[in-house]
Amino acid sequence: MALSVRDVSKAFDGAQALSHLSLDVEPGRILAIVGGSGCGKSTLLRLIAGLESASAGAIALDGSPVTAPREEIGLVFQEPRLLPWLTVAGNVGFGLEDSSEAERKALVAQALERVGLAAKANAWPRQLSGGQAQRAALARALVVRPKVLLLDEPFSALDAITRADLQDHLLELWAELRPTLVLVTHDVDEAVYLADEVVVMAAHPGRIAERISIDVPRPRERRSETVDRETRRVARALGEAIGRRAA
Amino acid sequence: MTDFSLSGLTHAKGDAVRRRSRFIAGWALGLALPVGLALLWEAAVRLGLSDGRLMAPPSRIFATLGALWTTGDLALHLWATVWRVAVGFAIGVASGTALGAIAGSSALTRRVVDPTLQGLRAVPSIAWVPLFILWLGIFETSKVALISVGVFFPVYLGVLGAIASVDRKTVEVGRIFRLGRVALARRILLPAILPAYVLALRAGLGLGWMFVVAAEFMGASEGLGYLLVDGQQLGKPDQIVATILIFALLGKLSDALLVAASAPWLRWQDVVREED
Ligand SMILES: Nc1ncnc2c1ncn2[C@@H]1O[C@H](COP(=O)(O)OP(=O)(O)OP(=O)(O)O)[C@@H](O)[C@H]1O
Ligand SMILES: [Mg+2]
Repeated sequence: MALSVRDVSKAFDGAQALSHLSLDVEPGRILAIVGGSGCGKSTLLRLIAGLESASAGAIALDGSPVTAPREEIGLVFQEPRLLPWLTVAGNVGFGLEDSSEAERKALVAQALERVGLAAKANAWPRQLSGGQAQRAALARALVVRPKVLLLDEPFSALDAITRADLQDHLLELWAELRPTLVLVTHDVDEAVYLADEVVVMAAHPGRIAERISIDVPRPRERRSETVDRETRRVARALGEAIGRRAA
Repeated sequence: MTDFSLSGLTHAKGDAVRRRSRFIAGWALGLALPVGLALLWEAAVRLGLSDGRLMAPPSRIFATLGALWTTGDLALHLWATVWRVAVGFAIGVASGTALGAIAGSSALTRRVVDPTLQGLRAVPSIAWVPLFILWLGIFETSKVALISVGVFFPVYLGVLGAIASVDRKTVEVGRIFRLGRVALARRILLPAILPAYVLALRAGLGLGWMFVVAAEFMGASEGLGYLLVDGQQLGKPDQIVATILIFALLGKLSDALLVAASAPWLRWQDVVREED
């Protein structure tokens, strides 16, 4: 689905978190958002997800305005937010209440397998490590197969190997179902490896500083001359966006 | 030698065994003090160090209990008290839960309901006794009413506080999955407030036992409270101590029942305790 953010502003008690931000994502594309801490990345995702309403401007999916959470939109929060009273399997199946028991079981097992948590299906969230909880939260969002998937630093608590695995897993799922992906990350390599386009945000007020297309065909190498060149471009833009604020 | 392919199973089994032995150890430790003191006192009276008139030794207390039991008096008084607490508890819990949920459901209803209830809470509950007797007579109704009042406030406050402290982040998970009001209450709010609710019920039950004595002091012809008054007026300290012992057992037993009944819903919390 096509996502459009039109001239959106968001203020919290007078403090401007986002100012006149516009953004378009074509159906099935992957957009990465990078930017300094507190520049409004999570706020932007929450607005797109319909959890917050914009102070001004509009957000639309295929032309129809988003005013509340929608079935087509999935969100992985910056924190895992697992429900402590459900097992890991219960959490992952939370959005499958309408499916039959058997179908739910199969989908949950498959999703857990994919994020490498099959052995933890019956564990309680309190028994998970930070990275395991993050993967369970990812599985919970993936299992309902949203057409638009918003990911707020979904791999931040993972080691490099697991992170690379899950990035590839995400790309596999994306290739299969072709959702529109918006991914917030602090990791420039991750942004360049995954995204068709990287949006660099600046703070005070939150806005887009630069948009960089990553014209590298998939499957991509993690390290190559072209990838490195794109990475340097993004890193430089990010440095400027953060530095500009400090100046 | 550990067989790693079975380690999950043996681990679970080991857990169960460990939990049971810890359970037994807990009981043994908890009983050591009262049983030890009782035995010491028994010995002291037998050895003539005290005549045990004001504080009977365990053997005489058990004899008193046995006598009360064989005449059928004990069952009568016990049943009267348990019945009053049960009915008062049920009414207090139902009204406390309902008003707590109403006050907790929106800021507006809270502002309407809460100040009045907080004001009433400031009244020492025993102060209601004369009014209840005038309104409801000196028989069962006024007693049950007093117990209900005692149970009501901790339950009301518990529900209100639990609803207020439900994490907004958890509620957002429900919103992202587009739960309606009922589903949100059932799948997010209820499980989130349950631990605090059980604590509130336990506090309410404790007050229920406290208030039943107050209620029975104000003129009853049956009930454990009556046994206490009777023991005092006729100078039967054995009977008083025996009754106190029954209260201790009843309080502990009813609390344990409540905990056991709620345990299946709160298993997820045990995880933390096991790690302690
Ligand atoms: N509910 C809120 N109430 C008040 N201010 C808020 C609220 N949510 C966010 N803000 C403010 O809006 C700004 C943007 O916050 P946001 O969480 O979107 O940042 P972020 O880019 O996701 O940062 P990080 O990379 O650290 O997660 C911050 O200054 C924050 O203090
Ligand atoms: Mg954030």
